[in-house]
Amino acid sequence: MKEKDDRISVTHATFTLERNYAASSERVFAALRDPAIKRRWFCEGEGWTVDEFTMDFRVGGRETSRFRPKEGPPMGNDTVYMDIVANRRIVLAYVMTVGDARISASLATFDVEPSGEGTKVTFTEQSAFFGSSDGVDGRKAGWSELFEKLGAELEKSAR
Amino acid sequence: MSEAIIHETLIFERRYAASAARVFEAYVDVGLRTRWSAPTPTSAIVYSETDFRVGGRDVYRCGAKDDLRYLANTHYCDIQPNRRIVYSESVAADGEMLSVSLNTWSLTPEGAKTHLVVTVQLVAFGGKEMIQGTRFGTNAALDHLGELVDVSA
Repeated sequence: MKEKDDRISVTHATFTLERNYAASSERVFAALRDPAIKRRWFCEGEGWTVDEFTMDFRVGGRETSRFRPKEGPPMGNDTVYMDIVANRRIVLAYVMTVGDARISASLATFDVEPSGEGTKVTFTEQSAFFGSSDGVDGRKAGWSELFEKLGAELEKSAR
Repeated sequence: MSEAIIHETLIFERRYAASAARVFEAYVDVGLRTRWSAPTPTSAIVYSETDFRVGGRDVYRCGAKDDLRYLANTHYCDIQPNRRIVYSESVAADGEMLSVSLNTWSLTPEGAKTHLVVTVQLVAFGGKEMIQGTRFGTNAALDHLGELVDVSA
């Protein structure tokens, strides 16, 4: 009975991250929109194998990624694009899975705006974490790492 | 922030004199859902697509009966029979996006009753109107749902 209750429990959380990039809002947006670029900063990484990455960037379109570490269960991300304003805003809904279990459902808002010579990205995640998911701290750390990789990608492509 | 994006969490709670299975069924059954969802006697909700399964989508219009100006898309994220429904939803009117939300329905049996908690995590565009609208619409719908499922009535 205890186990069942744990599976059913939900924890809701909201967090915001702000990043400034020395790139135009068009280039930042392109890194969110273009499947080849997004795959590089969002999925690929040392020690990870990407089994699948497909992306249909339009309102109602889906993005599916499957990836796994050297050890441990495979992970998945199933995304639906809910709202897109070119060069300004993306709102997507995504479900994360570990093995066969869904661990969370979230909304992610990317608010992209020109700021001085560069671009400010305000990222807001509203999440529902299921059962024994590691929750908001792990998620925040995960996105912080992804935004580092996005920054590195923007620097690399600027050269 | 550009164009005033507001993030807000709304929580609604009800205790219904009905089993969790009955409350769950009143959501799953689109005929029943259509009955309790409309917030006022002069408003209506009309589905053009329904697909209640994880990864499935509903599409509906709602608003005044003679002016169904709101277009909504629902995507089901998680379903645990009789216990939980999680879906994302966008609402637009006249081609303009008004809000996107993540909605969690948690049903907990309490003896012969059911404790329902609906958590709406909302992204609203263009001011607070959609927050007020969501609060009003959800409260009205959940009251109607209670009247529909209440076995003592």
